[in-house]
Amino acid sequence: MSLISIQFFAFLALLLLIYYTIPSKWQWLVPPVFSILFYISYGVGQIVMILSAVLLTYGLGLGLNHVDDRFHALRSECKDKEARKAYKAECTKWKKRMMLAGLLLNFGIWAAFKFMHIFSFSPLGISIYTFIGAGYCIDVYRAKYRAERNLLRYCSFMMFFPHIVQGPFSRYDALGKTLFVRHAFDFDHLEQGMLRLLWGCFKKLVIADRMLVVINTILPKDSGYGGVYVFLLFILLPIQLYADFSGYMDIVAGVCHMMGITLQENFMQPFFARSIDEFWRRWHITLGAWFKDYLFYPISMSKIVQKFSTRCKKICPPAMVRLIPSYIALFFVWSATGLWHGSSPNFLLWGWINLFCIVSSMQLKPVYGKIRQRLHLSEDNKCLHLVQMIRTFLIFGFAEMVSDVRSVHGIMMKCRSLFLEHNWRLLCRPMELFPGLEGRDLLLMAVGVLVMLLLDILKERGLKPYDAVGRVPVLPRYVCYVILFYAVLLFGYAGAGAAGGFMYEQF
Amino acid sequence: MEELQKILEEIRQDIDFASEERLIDDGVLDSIDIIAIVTAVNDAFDVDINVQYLLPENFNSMEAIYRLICKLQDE
Repeated sequence: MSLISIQFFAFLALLLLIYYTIPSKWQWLVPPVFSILFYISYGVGQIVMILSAVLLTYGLGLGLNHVDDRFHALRSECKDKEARKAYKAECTKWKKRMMLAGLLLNFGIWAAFKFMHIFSFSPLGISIYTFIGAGYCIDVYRAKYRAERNLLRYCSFMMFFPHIVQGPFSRYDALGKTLFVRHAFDFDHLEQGMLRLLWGCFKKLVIADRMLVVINTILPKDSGYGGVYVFLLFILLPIQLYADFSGYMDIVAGVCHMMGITLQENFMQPFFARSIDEFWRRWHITLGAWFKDYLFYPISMSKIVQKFSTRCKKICPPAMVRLIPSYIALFFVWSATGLWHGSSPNFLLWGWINLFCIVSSMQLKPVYGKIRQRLHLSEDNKCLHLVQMIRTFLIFGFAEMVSDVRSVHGIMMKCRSLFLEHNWRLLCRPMELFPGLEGRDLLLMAVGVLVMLLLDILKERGLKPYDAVGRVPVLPRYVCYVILFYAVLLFGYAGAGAAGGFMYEQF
Repeated sequence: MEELQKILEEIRQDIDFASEERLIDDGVLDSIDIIAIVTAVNDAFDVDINVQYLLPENFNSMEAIYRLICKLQDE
C-alpha cells in the first residue's frame, strides 16, 4: 500500500477513528494491529520475516537481562572484592557471547537478502527493522534500559508502520515514551499533522516526481547528455532526493502527529550545511546517529584501536595520535554506510568519497584557518558561508551521481564530458536543458523548489512553520489548506515516467 | 585536575573547560572531540573508558570527566 494512495488515506481515516473512539486502555493496541494490516498489504509471506526479526531481538533482549540479573544477584551476595570482579567478568563474557550470536543471526538474515539475493524477494523494510532491532539489543546490552517483557508492546515498536519502510531509525526509549501512553483527541494535532502530510505529498508529487523525469532522461545516457547536463545532475540529484525522502518523512511524521505520537526528525535543512561532516548531521539524521552510537564509538574506543593509536606516538605528533581512532572508525562507518545503501562497488565508492571529504576537512582545518586570516575573513562571514554551502551541495551532488551511475566507465565519461563538451549556452534555453518536461511542468517544479527553499530558510532562522500556521486566523488558514490540497491534486506529476514509489524504499 | 585541564585545552583551545557544564547537552563537543579526549585520558591516566561510560553525565564538564577517571582508577 503506497503512502500516496486512496487506500492509504482510507486506512488512515479508519485508524484515527478507532484510535480515538476505542476505550483509552486499549488505545496502544491500535497501531500494532494497523501495522500488521499495513504489512500484510505488501504480501502475507513478508510478515514471517519481520516476525522472525521481532522474536529474535525480543528473545535476545530478555536473555541479556536474565544474565545481568543472575550475576547481579550473585555479586550482591558476595563480600569478596576479587570474587565480585570475577562475577562481573563472567557476566560480560556471557553477554558478549549472546550478543555476538544474536547479532550475527540478525545481520546474517539481512545480508542474505541484501547481498546474496538467496530469495527472489526482498522483505519490506528489512534494512530498517534489522538495524532498529540491533540498536535495541545493544542498548539493553549496555544497560541503557531494561528489555521490554510484553511481546505485544515490543511488536508495536518494531513493526510501527510509519518507520518500517524508510525509517527514521527509531530508538525504543524515545519512541516508547509516546507510543504506549494514552492520547486524548486534540484537534490542533490533527490539523498540524494533516498539514505536514499534505506538504510531504506536495514535495513528493509536485517536485520530486517531476525532477525524476529529467534525471532519468540524462543519467543513463553515456553520450548525448554531457557538459552542462552533468552539472545539472549535480544540482538536481540532491534536490530530487531531498524532496522525495524528506517528503516521505513529512508524511509519516504527519501521520504520527495526528495520533499524538512523536517521531524522531530525520532532516534539519541539510543544504545549509557548510561541510560534508555537518551535512550528515542534518541529512538522514537517525541513520548517522545509529552508525555513530553502534559502530563509530565501539570501534574507536575498542582496546585494539586505542592500543594502536598509543603505539603511533613514536611516529606521529600527539594531535594526530588522538585522531587515529576516529579515522579508523570513520573508515568502517563509511564503508558500512555505503554497503547499507547497496551491494554494488559504486556505493562503497560513494561512502569513501564522503570519508575522504570528512577526513581531509579535519586535517586541513588549520590550513583553512590560515587562509581565512590572510583574506581577513571571519568565520561568521556570510559570503564565506554561502561559498561553503554551495561547495558542500556540489560535493554531495557529485557523490550522488557516483552512486547512481552504476559503472566506473559511466562515471568517467560523465566527468570527462563536463570539461570537454561545450554546451553551456543551453543555460539560456531551459526547455532543452530539462528534457522530458513541458513548459508548465518546468514552471511548477521551479515554483515548488522555491517554496521548499523559502520554508527551509525560515526554519533555519528558527521559525516553527506548523506552530506559526496555527497562529494565523481561521479563514486565511483554511484557504491555504485548500490551496495546498488542490495544488497536490492538480499539480502532482502524473505524466510519463512518474515515479510512484519512494527512492529510499529500495534500500 | 590540572593535567586533565591541560589535555582538554590541547584538544579544544576555544572552550573554557573550567566554566562549561553542558559540553554534551549543548553540542559543544562533537564525537571526534570525545574520542580524542578518551584516547588522551586513557593514555595519561592509565584507565579504560569503554562505550558504557559514554553518557552525557560523564562528559558534560571537566569535573564530570575527572569524577569518571577517579571512579575507574578505584575499580
